[in-house]
Amino acid sequence: MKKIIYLIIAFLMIFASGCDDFIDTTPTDRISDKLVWQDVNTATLYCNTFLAYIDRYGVFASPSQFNGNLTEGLTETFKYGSTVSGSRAGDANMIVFNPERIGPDQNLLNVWGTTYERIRRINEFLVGLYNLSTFDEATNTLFEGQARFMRAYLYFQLAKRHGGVILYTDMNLVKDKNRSSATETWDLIEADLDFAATALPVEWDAANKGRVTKGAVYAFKSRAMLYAERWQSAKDAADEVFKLNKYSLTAKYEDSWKGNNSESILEYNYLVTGPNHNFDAAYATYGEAVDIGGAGAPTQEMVEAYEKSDGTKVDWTAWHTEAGTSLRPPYENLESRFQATIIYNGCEWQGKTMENSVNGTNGAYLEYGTETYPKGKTTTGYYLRKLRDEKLTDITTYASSQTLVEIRLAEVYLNRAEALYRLNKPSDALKDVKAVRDRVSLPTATSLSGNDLFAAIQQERKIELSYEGHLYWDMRRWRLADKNYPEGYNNYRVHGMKISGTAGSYTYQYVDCDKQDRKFLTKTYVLPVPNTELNNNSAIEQYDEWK
Amino acid sequence: MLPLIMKMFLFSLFILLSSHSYGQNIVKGVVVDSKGETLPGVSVIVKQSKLGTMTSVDGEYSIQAGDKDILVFSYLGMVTQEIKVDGKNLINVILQEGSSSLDEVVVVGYGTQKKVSITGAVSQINGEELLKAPATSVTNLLAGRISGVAALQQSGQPGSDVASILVRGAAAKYVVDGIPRDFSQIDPNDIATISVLKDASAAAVYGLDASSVIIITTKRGAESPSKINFTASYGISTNTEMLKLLDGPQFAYWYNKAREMDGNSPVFSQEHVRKMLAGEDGWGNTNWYEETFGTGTNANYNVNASGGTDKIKYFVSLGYFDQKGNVKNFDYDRINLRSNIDATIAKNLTLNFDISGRVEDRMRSTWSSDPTVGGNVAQQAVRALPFTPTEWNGLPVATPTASSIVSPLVSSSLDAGYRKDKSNILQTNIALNYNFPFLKGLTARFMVSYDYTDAMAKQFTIPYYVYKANLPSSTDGDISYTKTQFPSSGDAGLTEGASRSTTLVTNTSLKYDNQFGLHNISLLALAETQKVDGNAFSATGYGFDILSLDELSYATKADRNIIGGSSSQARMAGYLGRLNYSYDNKYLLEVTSRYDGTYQFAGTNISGKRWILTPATSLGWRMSEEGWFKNLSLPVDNFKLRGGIGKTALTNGLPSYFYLNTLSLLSTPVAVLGGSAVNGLNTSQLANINLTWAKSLQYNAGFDLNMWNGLLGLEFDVFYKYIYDMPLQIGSSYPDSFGGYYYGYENVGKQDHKGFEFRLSHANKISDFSYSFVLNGTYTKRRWLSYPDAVNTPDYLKLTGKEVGALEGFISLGLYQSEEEIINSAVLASGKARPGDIKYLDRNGDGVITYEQDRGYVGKSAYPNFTGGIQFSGEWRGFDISFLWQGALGRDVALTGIYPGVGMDNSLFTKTFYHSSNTPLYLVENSWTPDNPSAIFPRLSIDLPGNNNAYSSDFWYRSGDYIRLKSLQIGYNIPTKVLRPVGIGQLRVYVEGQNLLTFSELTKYNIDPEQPGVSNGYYPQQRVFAGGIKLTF
Repeated sequence: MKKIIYLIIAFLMIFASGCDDFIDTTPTDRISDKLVWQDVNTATLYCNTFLAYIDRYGVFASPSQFNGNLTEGLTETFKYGSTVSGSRAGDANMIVFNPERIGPDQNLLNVWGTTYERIRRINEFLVGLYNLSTFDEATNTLFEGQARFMRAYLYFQLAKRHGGVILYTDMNLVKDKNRSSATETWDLIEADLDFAATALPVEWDAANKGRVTKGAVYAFKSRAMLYAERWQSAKDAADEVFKLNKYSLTAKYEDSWKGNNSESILEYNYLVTGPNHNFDAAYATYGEAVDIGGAGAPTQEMVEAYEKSDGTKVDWTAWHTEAGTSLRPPYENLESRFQATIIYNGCEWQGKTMENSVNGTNGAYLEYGTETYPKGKTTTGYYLRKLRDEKLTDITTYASSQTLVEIRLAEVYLNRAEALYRLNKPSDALKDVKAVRDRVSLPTATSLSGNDLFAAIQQERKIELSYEGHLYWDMRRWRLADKNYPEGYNNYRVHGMKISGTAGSYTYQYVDCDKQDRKFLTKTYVLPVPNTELNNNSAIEQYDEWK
Repeated sequence: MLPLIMKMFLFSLFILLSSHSYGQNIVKGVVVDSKGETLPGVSVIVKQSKLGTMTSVDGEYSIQAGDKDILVFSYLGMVTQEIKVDGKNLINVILQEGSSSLDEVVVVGYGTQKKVSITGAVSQINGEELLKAPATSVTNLLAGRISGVAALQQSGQPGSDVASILVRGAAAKYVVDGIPRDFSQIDPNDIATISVLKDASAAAVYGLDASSVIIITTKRGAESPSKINFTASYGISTNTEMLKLLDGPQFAYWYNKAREMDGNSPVFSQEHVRKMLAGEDGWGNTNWYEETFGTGTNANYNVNASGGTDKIKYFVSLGYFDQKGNVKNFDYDRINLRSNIDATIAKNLTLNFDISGRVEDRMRSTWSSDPTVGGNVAQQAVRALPFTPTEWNGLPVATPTASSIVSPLVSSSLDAGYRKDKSNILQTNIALNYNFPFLKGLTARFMVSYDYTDAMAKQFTIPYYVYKANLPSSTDGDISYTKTQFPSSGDAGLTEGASRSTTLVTNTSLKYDNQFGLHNISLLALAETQKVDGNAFSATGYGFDILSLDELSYATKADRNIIGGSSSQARMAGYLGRLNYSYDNKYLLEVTSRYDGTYQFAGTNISGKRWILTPATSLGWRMSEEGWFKNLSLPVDNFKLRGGIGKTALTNGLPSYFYLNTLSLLSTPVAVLGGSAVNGLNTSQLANINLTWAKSLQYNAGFDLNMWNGLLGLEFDVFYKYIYDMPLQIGSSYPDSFGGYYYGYENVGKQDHKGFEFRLSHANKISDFSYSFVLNGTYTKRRWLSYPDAVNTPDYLKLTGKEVGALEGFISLGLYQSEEEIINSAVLASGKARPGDIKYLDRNGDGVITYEQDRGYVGKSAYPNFTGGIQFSGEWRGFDISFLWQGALGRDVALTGIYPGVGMDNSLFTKTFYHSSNTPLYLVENSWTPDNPSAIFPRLSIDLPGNNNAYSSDFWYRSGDYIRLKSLQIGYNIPTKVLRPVGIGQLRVYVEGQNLLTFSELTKYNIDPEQPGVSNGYYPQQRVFAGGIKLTF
């Protein structure tokens, strides 16, 4: 018996030694976190990740904010063609007809969870940078500046939706934490931006072109401070942008949002091979591809918002007839930004003459509500030209690489104009408006003040910055959205042109594209704390509007 | 060998003619098995005197026995029989194959054991059992045959039709010939036994993930003359259920009706319907479903040879299985090769050399049939609209849906491209066994196994031209067609991938077996290592000038090339000690202890996480061996009480390296800097250095009872399993503001599984008719004891306390009957309900229905509470019949679906014209209208407005209970006298079937009760009819 026991023991001894080593393996698809702060290239990769967040709140990413839809779909300027919810489908329609769909459980405008994840990643990066970095001071500052800009960018996304939110600037996370006030939130954003502005260069070297610059920080600050209603800060930040003497408006409006030019201040670039987007496929005209496109279209209301080239307005009464008229709308008389923004019946697009009509083959009309998805057809008689890449003709094979210009100089002009108006400096404000209108050779009033000045700024933001993601949020921060149309977004319907017949003998019918009234609920000025937060955070207080 | 009947007759004659004698007689006879084959080597013992003999090569015996003596006939794998002499001189015996035999040997962990001395919960079936049903995957043959085992087969696609198996409610570890391996594609002809270790006391010896174990043992040679078996079978297969979708005229009628209900004018006219029936002007009447799902074939061939001498024994087998799906071009074929050799290579030293391999070829069109893949072929078949012909102007017809167009016939043809998967699997076991000469009973064994799998996948997608049908928009309109490319991409795309994996297992053990008087001792010490490495790469190219040159080199769109590659490794090790002790074959004890380590947990820097000790013990008491019991003179052959307790440890499903803080590159570039794409690095989920094994404590108690010499066998077990420290993802218990900064996994989950199982068997022979009957059943209840629920949510939204796998949804309150009722009810914000829509219970009473607040766990799990089977086999003069009824009770099937990344939505089975597609007849026929207020289904509607009825709710749950005739086989053995002259040992012909009859609430909707959780079309389960022959030389 003893022999056996000895044998067993001996046998186990042989195998026990070295078995733990045998089990130790190293992953082949990731690296240890300790390596990051010893190699500047690795830390740079880590920092690069945050650049993608610019895309995530932009108009091209899908899904991103608002499930990949343009927030203009919630305004009178844009109509989505699908009757069912879904990214680049009918999400916007669902909300304008039924704003009760915004709530603590379901809320397509909600970015709370994803944004906190991104904030956490930046804080994780900063904590690592502060504690473990082996790099020199200059390198550290560049990293910190980029990270803190992005943190401000992210908190801005929360603040513009909610006001005061939970604030973290380190990794000491607690489950039960109350939100801070709006003031504290904007303070943090301002502080991060101020740091970034001093830390970041005016220009990066060629290989790093595309990173956030000093100008971008100030430009963004001029935007953020309008939301914070810190007018002086907004004006000062805009002034800093101009002081850099680096940016100027492009000669042509249609180049202004294409990036890589003198006007572009903060942009995010794409490549066909990735990162890329499929904006062109989603908003393509009928005939560009099979079964896709036409997700949404500019409305007649938007068309009518354009002035004529001489600065006066068209009288559209003749076209407001459901019976229809054979009279062609005066599209060619409208100011040049119209032609640059909207594809209309009879215009040229990708070398084709468009026929946005019932039986059209290059462009086609579909009555809203008769099909689940528009599949390339327009429900308003128009298509979006702005933001689209006219050179991309094979959208089924190739993704889009049209640059996202998140901030351009025209916005900074208009941001400053608004700040100056609030600071009661109407003539300075008007100068900035004029700068924008001069490019498209539109006359500007010599003197405007009070509501007229504000209306002019509003008009200019709506036209100049159309479909760039501003209008809906502007209307919210101005607290106008809950007013009845046309001041606000309650009780109205958008319209379009149902075009039938063939070239030379078109009939234009004024059609109701909504078939029911659009609504805006006052309480949605502040978006609720999502239940996914409340379910596990016992300390946070829901916003008063949602209690 | 004379024909059996002849032989029996001669014997009887001989006995009659021989002289009578008193007291001690010579008793003679022939022993045959249930098929009438004579059995050589059967032990025949006089019970009282213990004197005995063996049957001869021809199965004959002759023994001296007294009138009152009892003869005991026993043979390995057969039910031992005791027969009183009672003055008879001729006793012919038919021994039944059976598992209730007292001498039955059962495969247990790292060895075998006599059934009577087993103390854990172990069930075993013989490979022969599996051959009583048409062979597809072995996994499909287990349902209903073994107590404790539940199998659910959710697809009928050739080569992908394996069933998912749960043993007592949890996944089991699979072991093939001592090595952890998958068994689903083994040739059933190669299987000797399938043994299921159901409780911890039996399973714990396998360590890692072995909360229960299914052990497959393949056939080996025996010391006997060569025997060659040849089997061939051929069968046809069709869907078990054929959906009844609307035909053209029905579609027109119901579509108009639905539009009418929505307040819209009709689209189809009488003239349209006339044209459909006449096939004019582009109209038609096509049953796409029946066009797509036809008849498939299965062919199965196997030839094997076995035999051996005292020095070398062999079993070699070659099998070929060829399955042509009932959807065109969905094919699978498999070649299995096996050679198991046992050789004595020196004194006391034996070698086992097993090598097996298989080549698997899977083929399909480029469109898959995976129900989770949008646009799969089956989905296209159910969605295609019926009022068109299959072809128009020489091109296939496609019909529109809400998203992409569908064309099931061309999608399942090779014109659309193909997908080919080829894998080569080589498995080797080499073992050396040494009997130590200096100590009787001491053996050492060293086994090494090396498994190699390589797989190549090639998928070619060819855009093809179709005519897309356009619905008329009014009764004045007409159908029209647009020529279009489908799928829309203009370039042909080719993806080719290769992967390889190797597994090296070593297994070193010392074993000591001996008997000291009445004490029986068996000791085992074992060490095991496992090393798994894998790597894979794939490449994709687009644009091919010549489609027949479908090689990556000829891809023309260089800017669209995609490449990828990865590798992985896994390491495990374990030690085992086991003691078996029995006293007088009455009192039985087993103690095991295993110590396991895995690379998945932190090792060197933190203790107690990587390695785990799992002890188990069990006791048995063979009460029937007690003197006092015997004195009761009950007709009991064996009565054994068993009980065991043990711990097992699990990692299954847990991804690797969650104990390390790491960063990984994002899968796509994050930005473009200076004109070039740059990558990004992200932290992986927060490391949990304390992450460790899930454990379970398992308790089992049961008894085995055998009575009346095999006339009755009963096994009964009750079990309780407490699973704790289950690693779960814990995001649900953190607020969003944590930004995902919590452990990827934490050991927080707790479940318990409890239940009972039984197996009742009966075997008998009445005159020439012998039969056996087995009834088995398992009841399992699985419950969450602890789940990382959100703290501030109501109890009905918490999983803690709920059944594992419970379906989630609203509680429905029937259908709204009036607008007034809607105004007075809580409704969903997402869509305005109308009369005839589903009304839901406002569980939190806030006046609105929200999915997040008012749903709960209101349905049962898709996995049944009770599974069982009834097996019968009978035999009469060369004819034999066997069948298996299998059933599952206590399960729910949701007709709605949960779509990955989308959430809940309707399916074709719950919403008329869902996704602008065709609709099952039952859904429209029983739909709500003001005149039919007590309808089963909601109102007809095309799709506007809102999606009130889309949510998962108990309205759409149906009982998934079913009973089906899983298999039936009828065979005939050609009499030996016919075969003998031509040199054939045995020839059997048979016909068989699978899934022949099904009883379920779901069949009235033509839905198979085993359908997958999300069904919008999937490759359905198959009904098989087959015939075959078996030849033995």
